[in-house]
Amino acid sequence: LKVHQEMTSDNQRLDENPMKRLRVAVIGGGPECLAIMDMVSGEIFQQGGISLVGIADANLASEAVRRARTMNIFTTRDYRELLRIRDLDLIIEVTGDPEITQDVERLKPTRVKLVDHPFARLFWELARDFGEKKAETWIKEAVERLELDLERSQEGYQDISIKKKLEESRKIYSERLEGEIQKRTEELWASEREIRRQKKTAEGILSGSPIPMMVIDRNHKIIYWNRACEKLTGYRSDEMIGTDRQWEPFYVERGPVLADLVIENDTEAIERNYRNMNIRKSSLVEGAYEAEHFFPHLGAGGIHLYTNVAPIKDDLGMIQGAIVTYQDFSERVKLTQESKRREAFVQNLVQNSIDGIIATERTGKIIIFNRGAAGILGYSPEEAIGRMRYQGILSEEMARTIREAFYGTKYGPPGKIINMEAELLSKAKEPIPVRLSGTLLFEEGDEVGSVVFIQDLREIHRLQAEKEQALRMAAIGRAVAGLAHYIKNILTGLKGGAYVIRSAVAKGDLPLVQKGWDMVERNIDQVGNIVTDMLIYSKDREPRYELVNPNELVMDVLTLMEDRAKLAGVTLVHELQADLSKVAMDRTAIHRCLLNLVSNAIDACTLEGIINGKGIVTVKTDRADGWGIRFQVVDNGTGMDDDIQRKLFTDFFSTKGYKGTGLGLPVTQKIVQEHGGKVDVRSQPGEGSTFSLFLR
Amino acid sequence: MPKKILIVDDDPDVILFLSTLLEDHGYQTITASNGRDGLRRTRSDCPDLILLDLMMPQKSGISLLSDLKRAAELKHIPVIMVTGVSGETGIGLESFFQKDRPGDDRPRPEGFIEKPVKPEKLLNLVKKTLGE
Repeated sequence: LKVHQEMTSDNQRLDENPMKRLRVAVIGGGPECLAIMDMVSGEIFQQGGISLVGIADANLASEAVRRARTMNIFTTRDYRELLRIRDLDLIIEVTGDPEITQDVERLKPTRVKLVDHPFARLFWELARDFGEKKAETWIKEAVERLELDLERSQEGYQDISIKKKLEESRKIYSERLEGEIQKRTEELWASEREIRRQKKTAEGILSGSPIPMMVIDRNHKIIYWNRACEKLTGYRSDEMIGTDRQWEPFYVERGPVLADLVIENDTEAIERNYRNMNIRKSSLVEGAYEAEHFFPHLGAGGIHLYTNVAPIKDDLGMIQGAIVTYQDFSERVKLTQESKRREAFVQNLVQNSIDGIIATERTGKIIIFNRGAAGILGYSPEEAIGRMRYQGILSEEMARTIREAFYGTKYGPPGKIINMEAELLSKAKEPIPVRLSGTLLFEEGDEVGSVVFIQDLREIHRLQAEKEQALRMAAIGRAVAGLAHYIKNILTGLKGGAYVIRSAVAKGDLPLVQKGWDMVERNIDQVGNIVTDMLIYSKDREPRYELVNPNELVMDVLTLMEDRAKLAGVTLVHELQADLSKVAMDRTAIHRCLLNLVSNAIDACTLEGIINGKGIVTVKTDRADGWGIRFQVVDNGTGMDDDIQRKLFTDFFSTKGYKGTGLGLPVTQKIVQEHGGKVDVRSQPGEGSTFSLFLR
Repeated sequence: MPKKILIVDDDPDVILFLSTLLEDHGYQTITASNGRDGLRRTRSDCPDLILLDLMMPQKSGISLLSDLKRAAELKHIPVIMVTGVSGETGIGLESFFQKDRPGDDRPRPEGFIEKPVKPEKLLNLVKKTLGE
């Protein structure tokens, strides 16, 4: 038989060549069809005279259809069209759809033979298994017999011997075929049973899985919808399976879901539609995608879903469906958001704190350095965080002291520091006085770092100094009224003295002249004193140090006060420790202090001295613990109650009527403090007072 | 018989000045340097007038005035208060004593004079107070 190349095309009129060949059409463009096409285009079948004259497939874009077109074979979407091919001998059905088989069986003319799916498969496998040569013989025999059949059917069966022969050979053929069919069918059933069993097992696993899962086939129909998926979406599997409503639980409008696009392998649409849903290719399964998205219509108030879509491929790599699994991570998202919010709050707190906050890891690396810390130390947070260690802002000695404070109990319980005064090093390497509190940080019992809070004491020190100055100025302001009174007194004294002198001169009373003159001099001295006191008190001044013998200084003062003491009936006594070494001090200033104290002591004893002659003022010197010198001025005068003692140094307070400016003790204390010393008072009303003055 | 004037002041300078001034003008003076002493001298020496300093340690002028004016045998002795407190410094002592209320029986001095004491003014006041 001669091979005839048919000339066909999609819409041509069907072949009219009358030559006898086996004209075959195939329903289904799947892999089986491709295999048949391979065989048909092979040499054997061309010699054997098989022509493929038509292919029907619902999908005109399938590979088999495309190839058929290049071979000028008739293709159609509707398998019924195949029946219109003139002189068609054989239809091979490979879709496996029993409905199609039945439909073709019903519609086809009797001369057209139908090979259904199981048979076609058998046929195909036989060809494969028995090898080309055998297949060749088989096919040839089959074709010859079929041809004879055909001829006979046209001419009538006249020759009995031919008929006999034909029947014999057919018998042999059919016996062999039957044997094979039986064997193959059993194998097929066994394997189908196995597949069914596996399918059931798989379904059982999927159905019982707590992971929501659905499967759609390549026609976009839902074929699987498990219980977890029912629970997630609120849609029952019996209302979903067999439909293409997979979009419904998730979206308001109909549209392809990710699984639909995966089945079509439409990567462009996937990228386009799912760009905002954190789409990414699965790193585990080829062709699979993962997406994360919030679905506001799911559950109460929406659900954050993690979706994984994997294509289901057959052994030839063709996509047959897609399996979709969902994971609800709303809880995780909520926790993450909450912890983010909390972290932001803490960050805000840390950043905006006026205190400096610095945290370090166990290694000493700085991991928190807020704006407060930046303001105190001069490093920007960017410079410090992750790049510096605490060693950069602490001297070695200070680092050790702080470490000891953390582990010891001097500043709070171990692991904590409460209000410790420390010095940090600024960027300009200047020591910055700070008040430091902090705590060691532990994680599961292991020390992982520390955090400290620092307050800049420079500012506090400056404010304190300013406040003291302001208090002094206010006190001076209040004192002005008192001073006016005092100055009036001095004026009275001066005028009185002038009157007394004039009167004495008029009377020629020389002793009275002397008295009046003394009065004038005393008042002039007082003007000098008060001016000096005010200057000392209102200004910060550095002592002018020189080495002074303390005992000599005391004797100077006592000599000066001798007359006044005598006038008041008070006895001056000294108890000076011998061999005291010289002490560095501002001689004039300390002299003034001692004069003030002795003068006060005499005043305190005045009444006692006048009435009983028993007023005694004792001045002592010695070396007290840790001090260069201690002066003590002891009197047995009136003494002071607590209230008066409290006011002694703070204000221009005087108990002496218009005789006191109230400046004496404040001035004394200021001078002594400028020396780095201190003044101490002990007193009992009615028993006298002791003023002690300590210098280094 | 010269009138006898008691000067009570803790400042010896004031005592010297006032006694010189008054003696120059024909008065006899006795002195005390505090309130307690002043009360004692009043009882023992029976002065015709008392010049009393307001501000003193121990017993203030006010306290002494109060004692004097409450003692039946002493309250007839006129008192002139000598004070540095004046309208200039914010507190007028005169107005303090003049501020009458119903039932107000606070003791009042017979006169005031401010420091620094002007001799003419004092002498006029003393004369007036003694009814001379």
